[in-house]
Amino acid sequence: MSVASRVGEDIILRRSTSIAGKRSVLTKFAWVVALCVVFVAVLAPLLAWHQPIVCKYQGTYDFPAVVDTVRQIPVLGSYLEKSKPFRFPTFDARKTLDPDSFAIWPPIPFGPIELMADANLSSSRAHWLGTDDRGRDVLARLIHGTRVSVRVGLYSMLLAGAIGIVVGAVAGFFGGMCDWVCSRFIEIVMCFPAFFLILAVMAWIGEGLTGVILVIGFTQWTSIARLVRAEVVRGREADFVMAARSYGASNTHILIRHLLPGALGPAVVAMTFGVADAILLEAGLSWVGVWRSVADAFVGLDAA
Amino acid sequence: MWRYFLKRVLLTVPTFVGVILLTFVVIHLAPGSPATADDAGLGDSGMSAVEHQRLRAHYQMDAPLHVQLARWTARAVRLDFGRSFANGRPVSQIIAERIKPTLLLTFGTILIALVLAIVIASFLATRCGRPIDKLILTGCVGLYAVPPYIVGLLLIWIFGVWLNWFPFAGLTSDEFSSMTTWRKIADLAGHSVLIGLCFVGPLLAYLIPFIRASLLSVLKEDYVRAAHAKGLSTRRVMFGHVLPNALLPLLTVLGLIVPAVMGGSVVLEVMFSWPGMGRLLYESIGRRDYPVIMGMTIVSAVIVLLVTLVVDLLYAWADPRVRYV
Amino acid sequence: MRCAVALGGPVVVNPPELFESQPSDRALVDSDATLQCRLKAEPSSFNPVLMFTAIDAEFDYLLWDRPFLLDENLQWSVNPEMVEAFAFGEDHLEATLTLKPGLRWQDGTALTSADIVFSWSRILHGKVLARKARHGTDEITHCRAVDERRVQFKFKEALATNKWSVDFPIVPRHVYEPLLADDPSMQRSDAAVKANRMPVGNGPYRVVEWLSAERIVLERWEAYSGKKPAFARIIFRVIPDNNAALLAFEAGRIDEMSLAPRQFAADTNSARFAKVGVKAKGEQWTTYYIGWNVGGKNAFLTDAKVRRALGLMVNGELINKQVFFGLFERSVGLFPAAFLPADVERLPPKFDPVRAGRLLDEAGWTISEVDGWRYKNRPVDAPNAASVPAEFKLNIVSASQTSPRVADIFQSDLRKIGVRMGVEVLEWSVFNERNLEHRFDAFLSAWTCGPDPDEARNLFHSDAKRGGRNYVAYENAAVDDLFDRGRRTVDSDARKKIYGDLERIILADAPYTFLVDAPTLWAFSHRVRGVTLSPRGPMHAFPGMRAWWTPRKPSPAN
Repeated sequence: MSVASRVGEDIILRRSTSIAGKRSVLTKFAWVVALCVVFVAVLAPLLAWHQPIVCKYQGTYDFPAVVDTVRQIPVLGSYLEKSKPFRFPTFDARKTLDPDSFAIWPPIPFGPIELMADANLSSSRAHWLGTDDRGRDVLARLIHGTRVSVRVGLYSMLLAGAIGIVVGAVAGFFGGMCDWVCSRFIEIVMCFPAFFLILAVMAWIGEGLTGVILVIGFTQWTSIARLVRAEVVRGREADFVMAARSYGASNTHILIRHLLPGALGPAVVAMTFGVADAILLEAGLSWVGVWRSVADAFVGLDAA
Repeated sequence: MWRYFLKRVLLTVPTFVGVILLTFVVIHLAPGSPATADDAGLGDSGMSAVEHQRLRAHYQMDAPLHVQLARWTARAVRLDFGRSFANGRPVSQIIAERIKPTLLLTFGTILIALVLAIVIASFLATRCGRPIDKLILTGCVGLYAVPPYIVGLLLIWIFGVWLNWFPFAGLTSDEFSSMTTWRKIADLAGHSVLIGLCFVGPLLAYLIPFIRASLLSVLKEDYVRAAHAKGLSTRRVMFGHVLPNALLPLLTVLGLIVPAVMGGSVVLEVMFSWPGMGRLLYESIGRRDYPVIMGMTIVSAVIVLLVTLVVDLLYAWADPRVRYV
Repeated sequence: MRCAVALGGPVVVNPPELFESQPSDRALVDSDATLQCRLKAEPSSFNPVLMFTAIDAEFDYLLWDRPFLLDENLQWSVNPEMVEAFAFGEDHLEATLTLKPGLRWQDGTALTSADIVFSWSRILHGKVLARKARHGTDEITHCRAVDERRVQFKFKEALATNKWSVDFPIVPRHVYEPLLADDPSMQRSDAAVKANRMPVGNGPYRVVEWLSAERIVLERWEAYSGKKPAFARIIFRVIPDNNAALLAFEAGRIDEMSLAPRQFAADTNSARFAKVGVKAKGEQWTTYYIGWNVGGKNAFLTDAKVRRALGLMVNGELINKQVFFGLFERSVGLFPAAFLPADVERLPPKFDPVRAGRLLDEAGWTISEVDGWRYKNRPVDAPNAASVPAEFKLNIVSASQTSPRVADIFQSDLRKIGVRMGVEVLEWSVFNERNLEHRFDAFLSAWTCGPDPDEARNLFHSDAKRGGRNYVAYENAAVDDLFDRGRRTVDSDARKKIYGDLERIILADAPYTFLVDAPTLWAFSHRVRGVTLSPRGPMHAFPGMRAWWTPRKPSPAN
């Protein structure tokens, strides 16, 4: 199909090698920052939460914030339950816990959705970055907002990557009619006004992070698909594929073992840029008012 | 060449039909309808069941979807895209009005960004690895990550409010219709500066690293070394041999950028009260103004496909090998 | 055109000169001045029969004169500029209107009784989308031109609301009648669109320029026979964003804008703002409320006791303070005091979690020992028995800045008594669709009360459940009866008593929980005078913008 994608992929490949090739100070710094962000995202409840990490309550030791951290892991988390008083909505750990009893609180002892009753406080020792217009601790929201951003960025790009790689590989490898259909499909999605899809999906799936992730994932896969397709087309005629064919390797084998590894490089680079785009897109969505601002998605965590 | 041209043109037809079909189905199946969108609703007026039924009939929503699609297609092939639900004006007229500011912005900003990016990238390519190179590259990444509405807000504050250099709302001054042609151009340019900068920023952030990488890879080619060996000056090598070859891939990127900028940015257009396409689409979606949405889909699809087509044809012209792929 | 420069003193709210009416000495008034207004969005058309949004209505009294007026206190009155006489018949079933002689449309054609009859017939025509105008007008069964200047109306019933029904918009017959053959809807042909965008009105202003999504320019119609307004030109600038509008205001690009609570309280206290303008605040009949789906499937909300308990959980003070910057008032009831007998005393409900919890316990929604949330019919010893959780979803509109904040506070308070509230953000169209189809648990919204209490009939009467606005499917025979009696009672004191009783019943049944009443919050530049603040804001009642003026020599402000 269009020449455009072939050249585009060329450039991205070049860019990817130039980025990965140099382990400069800058690269190291970028790694550190990225790791910090992930660290904050994964351990958010241990850094800022409305319940302590460890405490002694009525004679037993409880680990509410730790349990909540684990509970955020998909699938695995649902097997774990918080101990009794701490999972009660009516239970206010800050008021109920004896001030003298043993308790280790997270460094920021506030949850992201806790209303503190005093809005727009400037920074103080209690609230390091102050409180926002609804009286919630800004730092706590920042920490949990990071979590949401990371989740949106990663999950939506994983989804986009999965769709893009499958569609691109199928199109490129089988060629002919199959390629024709897939390529048209890619073009159609590229031309489609994504904003409307976003509105539609939001209304069908309902509010929540899942909707945002699905929408971004389902609309942002096209460039990945084009890159993968171009790479597979190029590799299809390569000598090593010919060799594999000659000793009777199956199509699937050739595609998965010989062609895809080469095609993944540019796809991964495109996905990395996609993560940034996805996070900005999500912020844009909340700006437009299609869905509630970043960390409000957190309401889902303990209200649902 | 002609066979290739014909093939490429024919290929856009199914895509075009697909986009229209998909858009039509999605907007009609999406929840909400023009009848519920313009209900003055919870205000103080009465909205009876009869009234609601009348609205549905007025918007011709009682027919099944395929009948509506057939009706719409029958009119659209005669280039009649219907009338806006909101105000009864012909869709073509509304879009014609709103596409002008968008075209001005798109081609203005892309042109400026391209020139700037090429100059800066050439400068960087010859200083590869030096601190200034790293600094600007990092700056580009940073610029890319800043949400455009923050840039917009800053620009409005600094140049609109504080320094009061440029107007920051709308497209024209009140006296526009009585101005001379030159004054008109100056007026339009003045109104476009701030919102234009918001578009130029991310474009630069995207283009500079791209062109720089492209230049660097060309610089490694044998013919460049040969040119140097011939004793040509660095400048002659750069402008005579390197740039033309390095800029070829830029065509592709242009094919991606034009539609993206063209689609406009709702956020920026709202912020600058800019009467462009992005705002029109956003408002039309909110009102479920189906004829306008369909009209805009067609326009944007035509632009995307046209740009891709032109880029591909230019490629085929510049590099005959691709025609036989 | 720049306003007078004042030394950046404190920002003034409701300064007396803002409301100063136009002096009789014309030498003091600048009659060549241009007024610059802000439009949040474009109007759909200037045809008053088709007008339906609040933005369309801003132009109503500027381009069009009607025989009747809604004055600044939202009282009905006859327009003396147009009407020589108007009287209801003995039985209140008919009325006769006599126009003044010599009335003209802006193109010079005479305005006669035929125009009124024509307008009435268009409004009631099945093909015309007269969304707003048809309401009430359909109570008029006959509208007949007795002669050039006299019109006779006949009504379905002798209702107290008939005086509102005769106040329908009028359009020029000679402009629209020739178009009807092609386009009976008045809006689907090029000629009709042109007539709607550049209308031939009879008001003091004419449209001279309409640049889509940018600005609309009105000019004074110098041949206007009534009292001519002071401003020679009005430029309406389309500025969708509130913050951009405030910047434009401070830059002197607009002379008026409505302010969001945050802008009024926090963003307009600077010296820069004080230099260009003042603020105005007035009572407005706008109420924020939560509607409960009384007739829906959620068993938790169908119980009036539960709804009363939920009402007690509204922390009005906190909501007012944090979301509305203390500018709003806690709602005390359904109607503005003007609709009720003078002796009715209404107290704002108190935030009382303890009593709310007790009410919920009484109603059978008790706190579970297992997870701390409330359930109905969950015995303590059988935690796995089938039980109904005390939970519901609150729908809010995505475009609202304040709704999510109100919802957050309510949600966090409800959690403390073990009630689980989810929040669903819906786009306006979808929000409306769910309401119309009664597919919701609860929704948060606001309404602006009309000038007559009978407007609420559409919200509470059981026959408004299908297709009306009784989205919550409220049904109470006593309420139905009172509404029916209320509209038939012409005597105003007796009417007030009926609506007083009505409100009491509705508050007890609690199909809605009223949160806060919103005031009118506005910014005006120093040069603007003659503003009136009606319960619908400064523009949507007579005389509105027509009475605004600016002194000939810019006087130093403050």
